[in-house]
Amino acid sequence: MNGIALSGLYLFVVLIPLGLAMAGMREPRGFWDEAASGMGMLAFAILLAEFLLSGRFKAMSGGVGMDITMRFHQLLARSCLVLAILHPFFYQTPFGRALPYDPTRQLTLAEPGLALATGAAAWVLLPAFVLLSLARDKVFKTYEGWRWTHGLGAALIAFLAWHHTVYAGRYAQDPALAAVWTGLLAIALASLLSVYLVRPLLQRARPWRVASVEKVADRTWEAVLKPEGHKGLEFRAGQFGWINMGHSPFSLAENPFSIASAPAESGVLRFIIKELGDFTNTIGNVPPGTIAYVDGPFGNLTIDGIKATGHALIAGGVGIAPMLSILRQLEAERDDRPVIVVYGNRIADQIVAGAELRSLCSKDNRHLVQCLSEPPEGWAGETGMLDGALVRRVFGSTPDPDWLYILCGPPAMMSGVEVALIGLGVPSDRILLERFTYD
Amino acid sequence: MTEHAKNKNAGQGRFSQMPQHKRLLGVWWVLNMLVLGALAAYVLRVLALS
Repeated sequence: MNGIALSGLYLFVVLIPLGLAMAGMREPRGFWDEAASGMGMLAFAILLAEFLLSGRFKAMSGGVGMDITMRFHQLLARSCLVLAILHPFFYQTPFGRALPYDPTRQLTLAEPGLALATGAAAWVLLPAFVLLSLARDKVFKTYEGWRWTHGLGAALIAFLAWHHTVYAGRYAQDPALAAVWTGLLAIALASLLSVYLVRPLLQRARPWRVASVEKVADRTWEAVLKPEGHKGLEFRAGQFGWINMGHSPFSLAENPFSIASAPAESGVLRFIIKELGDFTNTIGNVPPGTIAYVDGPFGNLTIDGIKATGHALIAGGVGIAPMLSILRQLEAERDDRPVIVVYGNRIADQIVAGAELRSLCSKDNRHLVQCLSEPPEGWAGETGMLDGALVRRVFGSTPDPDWLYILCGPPAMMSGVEVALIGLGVPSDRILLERFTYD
Repeated sequence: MTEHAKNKNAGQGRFSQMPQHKRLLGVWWVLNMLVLGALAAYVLRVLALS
């Protein structure tokens, strides 16, 4: 689904309850009461739409990329939060029993009771939930703990908000709108079940086995997985997968890693994994023969199907993994278009696959630029950070706008290089990057 | 830069020449405005009906 279709679907889901409320021709309450109702409906509809943007649904993220849908998931949470917080403050009509001559409750809000209590609970939990999400790196020790909390917390808040909306909401007394709310809640909860139950079941039927885990650079390992009783994974060079090593497929102890092997390497998957905390710090202890599960492939950091007269692969640190995949695939396909690899690290010991990179880039139309911010004595490559200045040194003042520029690395590096390339006249649609960290 | 490329870039709008994260913020802003516009239409019907 492309960006326009995805935006249209989002607006449709979010606005349909409001549209049904308008079409219901129920005598409205006052201006401020209607504003309060409208905000509440929009907040709940956005909350439910969030479920579909958070899961690994290729139908949603396949066209724009999972990094984009995840970023919208984060941004739309803010929209939802503002509307939800404001929602109760605008009501002017008093609470009370339904009057005999007021069957549509134009003159009184719902009676205080369970339906208001569930709304209040959701109202309190939602800001706490968003704050917890923003501070997740500080609050949660494991990625698994974060995922359980986020999934179950979202389901609880959605259920509380649904109860409040359907039982206290005036417009939800119309069967059509009540059915829409219940249907949207069912879709949201089904998306959770898909991620937490259906996908693990599918993965259990397609296990992998760890063939080797070898240290390839400072605090950096290469893990090789082989399919166990199946043909493996069909993927495009540059994509990534969620990897679970040594745990039940239902455990959620899985982490996303870029695939470093080329699709042409039949069956085998190679991952470059840096020790960055949590699971990755223990990767060196994973013994060969360990059962693993792979969910994927995902991601749009791929050159397949995009016309380009050449490729610039710009990587910082462990961001070299998808570039290795792309470069290895270009080599396997005997692609003779020019390639420039720009690879930045802090120290020489962090360079991954240095000899292979030099070999792959030894052809006339390929060029390898290595950069170290803390170079050893006698270092012949570039020195300093991988930033806009290095980009200008490598590509000059007029980089070819018909090339593809593929970026992977720390967020600050990608931002700096992207801004520099755009400043030099490279059209933004010629720059591919996937960024998952913003807040 | 080739003449063809310069012409091609000249045709690019300001939005498409923004970094990705700014473009995403722009789309988010537009979506918020559309939703708030719908809310305004929903609320203003009170005035139309009264």
